[in-house]
Amino acid sequence: MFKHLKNDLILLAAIIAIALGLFWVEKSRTFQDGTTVVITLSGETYAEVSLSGSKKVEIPVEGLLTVVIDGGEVYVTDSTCPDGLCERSGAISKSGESIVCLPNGVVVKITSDEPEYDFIN
Amino acid sequence: MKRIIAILMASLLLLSLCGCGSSLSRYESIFTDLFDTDCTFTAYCSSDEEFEEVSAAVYAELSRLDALFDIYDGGEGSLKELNDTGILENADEDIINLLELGINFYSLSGGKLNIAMGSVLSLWHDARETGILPDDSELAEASNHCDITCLAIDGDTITLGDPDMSIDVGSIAKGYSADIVAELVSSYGIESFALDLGGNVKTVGEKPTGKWVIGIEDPNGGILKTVEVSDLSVVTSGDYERYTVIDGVTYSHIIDPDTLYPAEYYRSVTVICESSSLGDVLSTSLFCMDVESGKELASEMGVEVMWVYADGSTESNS
Repeated sequence: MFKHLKNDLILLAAIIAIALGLFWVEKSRTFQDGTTVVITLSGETYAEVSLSGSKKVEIPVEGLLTVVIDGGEVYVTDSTCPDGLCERSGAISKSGESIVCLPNGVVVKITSDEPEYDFIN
Repeated sequence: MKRIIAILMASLLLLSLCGCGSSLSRYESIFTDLFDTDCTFTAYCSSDEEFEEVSAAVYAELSRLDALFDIYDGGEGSLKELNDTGILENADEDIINLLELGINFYSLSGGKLNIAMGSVLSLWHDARETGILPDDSELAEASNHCDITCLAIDGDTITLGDPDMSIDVGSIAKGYSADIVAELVSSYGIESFALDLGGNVKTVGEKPTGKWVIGIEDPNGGILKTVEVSDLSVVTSGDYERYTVIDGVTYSHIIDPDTLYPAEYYRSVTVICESSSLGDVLSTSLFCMDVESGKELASEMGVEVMWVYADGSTESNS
């Protein structure tokens, strides 16, 4: 009787351990993607790059628009748009933040699976 | 027997732990060619196909509404036709509903929201394009043609009684459209989604992880306040969304009907309430009135408001 109970408990513990293990794998698979910078051009995704590291992405709009990613910050430079609002909006660093250049149809947005902000008003 | 039950229960636990949370994924579409702003549709869907189908429908409906309400490039049946000809027959239901919303809110806001002041707003629109301020005499002359009682709706026929008046729904069209499009998305069976039409955020349901998180921008940089909502709209009118700098002075796009100049009480006003239409008309109205009058109107309407001053200090009514 007690032997049976002991075996059952071992089996139960093993199953729970496997379940928790799989749950952890699933969870980390979902959340490990990290924070990315998504650049859309006329509604289509043009580039997706990691927020880490240092890089420049040149967008082939009429003229030019350059997205700079450096030290966890993203900003727009060298834009040939008439109003220059995208450059004046400065650097963004939090997931959910975005820089918009309407004349060029470019949106630069920091996203992650669970962004810090869904929207910024 | 007990063994079998124990193993079965453990197996169920295993299945439930692995299964949950992985069925819905977060999707997002950003449109840059509508409402002269950037529009985002975010939804939790079970497959790429499901999201793409809904997202295409959202874009089509937003395009339809934008074309109807567009006073610069709208085609047949649009508000441009009404402004150009003074009459619109067989008007679309959405145009009638939007204009009725504007007419009703004119008196509720004590005239601070006036969709019939297109003549004044177009002078400021030109100023933002050319960088040259409008003449005070021009503004005064234009303000003689802003009488909303000259806007008449009879069945599906809309007429403008003053040939020099024009309609501008820029202050209310995005909020109204968010409500309309949200109904469409719900009809597809999507239970967790949000629309952001240039500072008009409408949320439906909760995210699988909880409430939607909306940051209210600090006009001097960074995030001033975070609000967490579900099934509510968060609408912000701010002087940093659309503005022009002329001779070193910043002029925002929200014009006070009483001064005919950009309102300067606040940097931004945020309204939290269920209807995005109400949030939009209220945030524009409140932006143009002092905080005491604003608090009265807010409590009358039963909405939550946050006012942000130039120095970054805030006031709220809750």
